[in-house]
Amino acid sequence: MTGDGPELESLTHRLAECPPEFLLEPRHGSSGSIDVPAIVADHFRRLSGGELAGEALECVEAIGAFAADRQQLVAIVVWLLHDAWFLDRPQLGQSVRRLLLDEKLARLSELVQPATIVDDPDRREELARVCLNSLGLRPRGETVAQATDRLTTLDSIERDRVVRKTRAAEARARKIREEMAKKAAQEAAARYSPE
Amino acid sequence: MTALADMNKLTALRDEWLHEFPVALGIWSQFVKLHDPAWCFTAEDEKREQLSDSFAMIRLSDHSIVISLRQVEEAGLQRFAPEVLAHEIGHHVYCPADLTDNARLLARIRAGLPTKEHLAAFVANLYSDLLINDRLQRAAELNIAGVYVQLGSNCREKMWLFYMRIYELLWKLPRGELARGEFDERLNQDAQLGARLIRSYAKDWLDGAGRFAALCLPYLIEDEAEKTRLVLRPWLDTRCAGSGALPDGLVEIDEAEIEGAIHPAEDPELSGIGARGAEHEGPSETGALSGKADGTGTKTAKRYRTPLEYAEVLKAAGVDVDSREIVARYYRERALPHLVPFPVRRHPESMEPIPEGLDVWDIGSPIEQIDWLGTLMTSPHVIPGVTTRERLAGTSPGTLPETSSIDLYLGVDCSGSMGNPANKLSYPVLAGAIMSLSALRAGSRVKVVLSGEPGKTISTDGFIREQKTILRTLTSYLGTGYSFGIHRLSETFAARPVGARPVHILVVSDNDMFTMLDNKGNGRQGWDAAREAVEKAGGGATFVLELPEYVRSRQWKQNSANYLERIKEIGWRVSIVSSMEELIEFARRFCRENYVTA
Amino acid sequence: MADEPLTDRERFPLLTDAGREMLDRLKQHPHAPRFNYSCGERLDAAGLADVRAYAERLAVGRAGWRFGEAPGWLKEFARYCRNEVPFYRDRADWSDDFFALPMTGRGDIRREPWSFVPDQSDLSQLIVYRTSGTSGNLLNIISHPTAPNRYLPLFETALSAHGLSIEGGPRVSIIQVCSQKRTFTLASVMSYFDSAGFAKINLNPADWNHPDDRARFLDDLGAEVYTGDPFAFAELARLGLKTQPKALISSATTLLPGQRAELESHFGCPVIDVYALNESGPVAFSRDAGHEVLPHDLYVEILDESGRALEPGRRGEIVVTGGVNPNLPLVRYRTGDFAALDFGCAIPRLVDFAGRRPVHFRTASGQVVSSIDVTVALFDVPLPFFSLHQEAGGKMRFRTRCDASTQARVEAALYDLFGTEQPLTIDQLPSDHLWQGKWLQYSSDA
Repeated sequence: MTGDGPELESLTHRLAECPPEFLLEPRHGSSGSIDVPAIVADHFRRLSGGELAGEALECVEAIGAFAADRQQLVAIVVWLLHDAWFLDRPQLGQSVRRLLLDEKLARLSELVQPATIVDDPDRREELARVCLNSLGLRPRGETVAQATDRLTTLDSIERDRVVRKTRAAEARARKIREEMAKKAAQEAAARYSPE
Repeated sequence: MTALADMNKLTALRDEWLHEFPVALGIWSQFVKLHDPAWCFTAEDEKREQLSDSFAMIRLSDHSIVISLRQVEEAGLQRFAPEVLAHEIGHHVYCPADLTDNARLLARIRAGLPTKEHLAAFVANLYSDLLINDRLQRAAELNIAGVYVQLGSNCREKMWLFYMRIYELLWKLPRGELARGEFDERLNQDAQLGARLIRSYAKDWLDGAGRFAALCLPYLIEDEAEKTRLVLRPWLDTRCAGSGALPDGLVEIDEAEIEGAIHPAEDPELSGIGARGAEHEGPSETGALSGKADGTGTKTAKRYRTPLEYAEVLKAAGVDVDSREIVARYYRERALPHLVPFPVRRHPESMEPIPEGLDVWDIGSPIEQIDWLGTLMTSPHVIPGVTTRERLAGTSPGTLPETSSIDLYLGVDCSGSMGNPANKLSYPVLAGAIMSLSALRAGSRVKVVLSGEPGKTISTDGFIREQKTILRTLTSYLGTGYSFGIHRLSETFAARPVGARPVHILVVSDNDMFTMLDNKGNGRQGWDAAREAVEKAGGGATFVLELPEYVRSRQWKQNSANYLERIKEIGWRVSIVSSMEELIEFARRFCRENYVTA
Repeated sequence: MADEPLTDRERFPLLTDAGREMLDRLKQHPHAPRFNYSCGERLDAAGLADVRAYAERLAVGRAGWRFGEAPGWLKEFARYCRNEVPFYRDRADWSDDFFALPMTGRGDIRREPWSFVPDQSDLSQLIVYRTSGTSGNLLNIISHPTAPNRYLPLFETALSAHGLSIEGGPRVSIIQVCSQKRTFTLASVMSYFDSAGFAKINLNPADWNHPDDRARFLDDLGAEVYTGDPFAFAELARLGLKTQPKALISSATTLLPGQRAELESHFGCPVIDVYALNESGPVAFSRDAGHEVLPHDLYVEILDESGRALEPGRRGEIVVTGGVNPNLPLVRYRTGDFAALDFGCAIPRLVDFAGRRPVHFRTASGQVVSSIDVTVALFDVPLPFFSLHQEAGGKMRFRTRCDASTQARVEAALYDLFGTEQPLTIDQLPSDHLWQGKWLQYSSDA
């Protein structure tokens, strides 16, 4: 993430304002409303100023084959990328294509609901940072170290792994403590010799 | 530097800080009014203000802030007037802000710290500091972080790193600026949960308290955060927050206390787990635990703290009231919902009825004319029309109608078998509290005699109306002997004049009373002392006995049934009270059996 | 006293008619003590099966080990702990080499007892013991009904080494005798011994309707085995019983050779000293010279302060791995007791014990008060630590750190035990004074 990116706040702010249309269910089989590949295609056309060809076309096709959850997240990312800062930099085109196909988005879409991604401040910040990182950029005014630290801390995948373990351990400990408290006032089992 | 030069320096510092005070107030609100802080220049000043160990302190009862300029200087915090002052003000206007909320906060925190409850005041201070500091650093753009940089520390204790990391995450500070040491992913994620918690519960901070405590618990297990407490000692400012007052309503355990004391990792709103894609969580797992809004589920029965827990919560909240006062307050609060109409007797006409004999009362006569005193003396069982008597009274002219009441003699067994009411709820003592408060309410006077014989006894100075003294005596504990000294009754009643106000004798004890009745004292059996007392007292008498399960369900050598019969024969009633249900039934029955409307 | 008493069904899930009769017989015996507690074996069918399976493994599995050898079952156990028990799983410093594993201490259990419960343990069966050891260090031990009941096959093994066995069935098989100011007393039955009776009694005459009832009760029941501590056995000897048990099993405090000889002579039967811990259960039993390791699945080491193994014969701290309590598996647990190991026989023996002795204090009137009584009296008083010392002239000094109302409770308890005339000072240690865990809790120069 060596390049200078936009202000983080402008991105998180933009995500918070994500229009409800982008949060609808993607078309899949006979259900859904939004056509995510079409949204992506429109974005590429805007960037290139012309018709789709080559890698751009392949990218749109690939996205068409994504699971619904993943497509949904792609739609939100496209909304984000429609910010003036990115539109002014069509040279990022190739990186953008890479971002939209990034596995990270797939995993993130499995863990977090789209509504949460735009409602929860931590998740907005995470998505913004994931996108910047994938584009080889970091938020304006941050050092690489700062940006990396924030990214890791907010990383839902990492968080999920650690917190899941924590949760299991703490839940079990709590159950045992509750049982202990209950049983501490009760008779135990008879012992047959002194200690 | 000479003492004078020191004084001058501190005076200048005081002036500077005093100047900043209105600004600090303004950060919170234009409308909040707090009087100026009390400034301490010397150790003597601090002693007087009861400030020790820290450079700042708040007290909710009189909305005061105490600042030790001497310690501010020692800690090198002279230029942090806005930060420190705004922070202290925050404790008054934001968290905990209020004596009752402060006590509730401590109760919630304690619920989240099983086995480490004694650290509740410390953890509560951390929690309220996080809430206040986050608001000040972000909204008011103060340099709170600077204070922590100044205070500490290359402390590497896990608790310290965890706490500092939360600030780093809240304020997006570079890693290592406050938390200077190695920590693992678990600590990092816990700090992230902590930061989310502080943001999520900024408004409803009481609901987040239990979760915060549960989050801190693993970091307290090993060393109880000894080093962290040392580093933060100068700024642990809420230790005495609750002093000078005793808030009401802490006897009941709030459901939210128990439900809220879960680790944030178990709360889907904070952890993000259970949100989507995760294995399907049964509602019993996460549903009951999620977030703040919780209107569903069955209503659970009210739960109450033990007297000991009650005292612990108050102590953690900084309440510095005498511990005996706290026990008395506990029983008062538990008793209040259950007060009953206490027997009174009213002369329908004016004074001085001249007794002319007793006639069997007829159902047709107005109820006020029943001579309850005479009725009770005849038999403890009141059967209208048969045993009730109506006093045939001539009257002599008087002035005002008089309400005379029956006074209450409360004899409490405080022997070893009864247990100390300050530790565990004692139903007989609670029964005594209900009866004495009911009596006071009806205008009667109460004499409390505590006795554990052979051994010791204490009592109120005769029959009094002073509620506090009565409750304090009632809830005291001597732990001597094996039962209430039934022979003590003669001290009050043997020489009682005939026209004296009638007294109802209520003795609370347990099955050891049977032995006491059998035994001899002052040359006669307990039975005789008891019979004489009820005859002289003139208002009836009741034993309230706690009989443990193993006594009631077993074949005992002492045939309790015989004892209960004999007690009735000498003119006493008996009530068995070993549970809340039996206690309420006793109170109801007492009122029914002795009741005369005022 | 328990807050919520259990039903008899909960106390004795396997109660038979014979068991019911035995319980009634014990509780309603004309010379019975005033039992003040109720407690049962809490074993259900699965629990009894577990205890029997344990007994089978015990019967064939006592193989011992050579110095420096880590048997297969030991390594398996360490692996199990690492995988299934939170406390061991969370330790940063684990190892495949058993002898490089970290130690566990009493403080670990005190601080987080819940972390020793294995993940798969059924919490509905969980029971809790609050312990009051002679060292005055209180602890909550999370246990399981099979734990105390596993003592029974272990006793059988110790007895069979002396050519004895327990008959069980419709008779009283075991009676535990105590001699304390106050203690819980109860009657129970043991499914492992076919509903044979068990009673725990206190020889203090205050617990009986008549002092003579004690001998009458015990003689009438004719228990096969008495368990207790040396102090209680001395008191038992003074009763002048007409009946003779098959054996006495002594535990809790050190049985000195002189005492042992006297008891054997008086009762005409073997007196077996069992060294056991609340945390692990029985460790070893006396046999000829020394104490032979008793369970088949308990590993015993002698280590120095830094955790290095000491050669056979050199005295160091006894460190155990294993234990009867499924909810408290121990890995290299420091017992706080000291002895040496002798590998002369197949099964190692502990020798040269510097074990635990109770301290006996003297009141101004010359009566003896055991340190156990002090611990019981202070049981509910919230003290972080304390020590009690009696000087040569009888004066007592109590050191602790607590607030004024707690100190008042301490005074009340101590004066109650020692009499109000007892010269006693209570020292409040300053807050920066570090309490060294090594302080002796009880000591006496008197």
